[in-house]
Amino acid sequence: MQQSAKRRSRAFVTALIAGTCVLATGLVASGVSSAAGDKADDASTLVVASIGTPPTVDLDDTGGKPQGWEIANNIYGKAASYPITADGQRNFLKYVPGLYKSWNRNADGSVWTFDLRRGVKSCAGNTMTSADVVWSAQRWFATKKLGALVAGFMNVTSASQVTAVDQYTVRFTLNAPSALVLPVLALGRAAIFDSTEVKKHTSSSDPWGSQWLSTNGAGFGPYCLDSLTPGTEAVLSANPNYWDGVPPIKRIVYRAVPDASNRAALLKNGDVDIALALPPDQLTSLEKRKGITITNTPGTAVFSLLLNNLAGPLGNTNFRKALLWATPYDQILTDIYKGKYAQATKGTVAPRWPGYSAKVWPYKTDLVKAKAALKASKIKTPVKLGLTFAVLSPTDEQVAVLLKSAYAKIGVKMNIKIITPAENGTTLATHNFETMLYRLQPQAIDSVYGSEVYAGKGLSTNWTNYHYQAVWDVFDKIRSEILTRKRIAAETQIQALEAKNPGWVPLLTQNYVVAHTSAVKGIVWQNDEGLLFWELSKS
Amino acid sequence: MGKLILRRFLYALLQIVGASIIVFVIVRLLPADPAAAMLGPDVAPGQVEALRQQLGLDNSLFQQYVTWAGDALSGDLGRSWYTSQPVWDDISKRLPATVELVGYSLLTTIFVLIPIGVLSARKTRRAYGRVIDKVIFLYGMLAGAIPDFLLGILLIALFYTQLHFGVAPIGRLDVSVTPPPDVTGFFTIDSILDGNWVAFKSAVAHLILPVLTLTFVYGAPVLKMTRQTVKHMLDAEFTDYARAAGLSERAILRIALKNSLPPMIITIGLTFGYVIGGAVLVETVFSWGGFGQYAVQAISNADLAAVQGFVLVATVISIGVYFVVDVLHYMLDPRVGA
Repeated sequence: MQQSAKRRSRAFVTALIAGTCVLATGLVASGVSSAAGDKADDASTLVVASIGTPPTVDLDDTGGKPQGWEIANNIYGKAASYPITADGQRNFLKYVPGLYKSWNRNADGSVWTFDLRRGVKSCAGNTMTSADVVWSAQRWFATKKLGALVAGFMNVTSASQVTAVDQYTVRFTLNAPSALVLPVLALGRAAIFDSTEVKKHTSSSDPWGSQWLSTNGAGFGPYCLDSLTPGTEAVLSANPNYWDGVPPIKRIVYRAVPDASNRAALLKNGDVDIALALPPDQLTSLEKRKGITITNTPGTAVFSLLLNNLAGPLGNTNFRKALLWATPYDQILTDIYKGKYAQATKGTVAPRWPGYSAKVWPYKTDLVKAKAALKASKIKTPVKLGLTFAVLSPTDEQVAVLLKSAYAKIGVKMNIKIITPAENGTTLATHNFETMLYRLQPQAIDSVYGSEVYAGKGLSTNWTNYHYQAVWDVFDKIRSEILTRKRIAAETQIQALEAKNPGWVPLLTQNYVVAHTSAVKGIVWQNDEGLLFWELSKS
Repeated sequence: MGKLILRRFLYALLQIVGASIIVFVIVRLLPADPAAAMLGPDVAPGQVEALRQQLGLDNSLFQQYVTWAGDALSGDLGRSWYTSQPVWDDISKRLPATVELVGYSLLTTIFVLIPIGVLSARKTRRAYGRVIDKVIFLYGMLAGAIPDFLLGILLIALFYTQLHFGVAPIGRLDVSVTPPPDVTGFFTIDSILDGNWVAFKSAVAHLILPVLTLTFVYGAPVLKMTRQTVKHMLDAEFTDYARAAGLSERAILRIALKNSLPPMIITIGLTFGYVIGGAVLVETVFSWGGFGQYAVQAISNADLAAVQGFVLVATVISIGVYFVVDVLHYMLDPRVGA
């Protein structure tokens, strides 16, 4: 009887093992075959691995949400844009028409009239008219989000300043002349909604259709939103009615892959066409791989160590200069950005910014000059300062450690404080820091605006509490000037003045780097660093 | 039985209310200001304060809690500022993904690790018995030492990156596969209901590594508890009596197993809570797009309504499971109700 029990027990174990093996084989086989079918090899479909899915596709609500504006840009298109030159870069001094076919302004630039392109249709099949622009402007100011903010750059501060002249003509009456009208239109944040479609989804509690627009597209751009599965993917398809012809890539699958090493692995294995936001180490491991291209172009995000000019020793100009002289610029570029994913920056704006001049900025790593500046400041060392940063990129902590070690050489002890991304806004807005790592990236491209936005008198974005009357005088003088040539000259003058009285430490300018398969063509940097899918093709 | 259920139910309600108060207070102690996070750093002076008033964040904690609890009772968990959607809508879209992942991890634990625990508990003088002892000891040590997310990354690096033997860690389905129509939200079940075998195969393939990760890390206590308890039962006097009475080894094992069930069920119930917690990071590693990933995003963005909604739903689920465990325990051993 015991023999029989043992036999049964053995048979049970054998059956269990066999069953497990069969199950595992089946699962693995399905896994392998499935993996093979997962390749992004269809030329009409582009698979993008991003950090996340867009939290919203309402273009007006995409402030601080890069995935949001990346997708929404492709749904809403642009009223005007920058032309791409023969060398594959954008010319930021010229504009080509988009949803607006043409424009003109009065002599002083305070009234702009826009002629809308005829026959522009949304994904719902509705034709764009001036009523859509006027309704959209009303929505910008009713919801008080991104549309209202960027309209403010244009000196448009109420919906009544945007009026319909006729069915295809709209007029913007500015509070004062502004050089930022076309830069804002090219930025694409002043969204034009298909008002006919949105009105079908409004209610008394949601008169501007905000809830519906957060997960549905209602634009006149090149792509339609097919689906948005939060946390998983957004799927776009080409707008068959797009005014500039159907884009070469018909379907976009924008997948959320939060882990950077997974995004790199997916690209290596050919499961995605583009892997976004990879850190330098991952990029280096990919660049020699056959079939993978790293598009690496200069950007405009100046990675800076913000100095609170009202905090203790940081109010002393010579002390700030000492930090500028003691900063290990080359070491950060070489050790952390591998000498190729960022550029040295001689000034508070990026080298490609209109008005940038490397000649006016003297600072480089020079401990002798740093110590001399410190001596001139008459501030006794050691000095203790807080160094705050939110982990927005894996490189930030490495930069903080390098700075800490470099400043210790002149007797400045940095106490590193890491905050969450959600605290970033609060910390900046309340100036609750002594020094802070942050990327300064003015999105609307205009020479003087690039400086004034972070150094202007009384501006909420003057996070460093920068105050230097000579610079403010230039801002005041040039603010209403709309001639590009004069504004560029003024910006160079501002850079020279800021060198005399620096407000913060510009460390470097980050490049715009996208890793993709070599089959993908047409990636060109643009000011909000989102991909414009309609410009891409895939062989 | 009825009294026990009623008593446990009242305890469960108290636990939920208590947990909601604690979380409500803790979330508000976070250093980030949701109004400032919503407006971003480009904000004019006074705007943050105005928004705080509009959101009711300037009210006392008690007032805020009463308002939130009243809304929650009517099914309104608030609106996520980050996604602009009602929190319940966000959660209900993501919850099935997490429940499917956690569910298969528990099923694997129950149907693979428990039988292994039971079989390995039998007395044997053979060498393989000692080997099994050592293997289980080693497994217990490893499972306790390796963080779940790290194991997930290692499995991806080994199977997907190096061996090209697993599916891409790109969520619940391949890019080329259309999700089945939403009935239960569980892709494995919905694809069967739809007769969509391509989606089924893809869903199963994508579950393997995350389920393996969660089972490996969180199944160890269940395996060890099963083994120890069954072993204890097999050493008990009633087992000697049964053997002396001439019962077969299989019958003896069945008796031992039946007597081991109460502590095993409690361990499984507790494990469920841990697996839900573990899913938060494992989902991020496997781009799962579930409930846990939503929580991570909500915390990073100071999305208070979303964080509270997540914790409330997770609490209700966990307490619901503990409630079922208590009832099952009572059914197996009525002495606990005394």
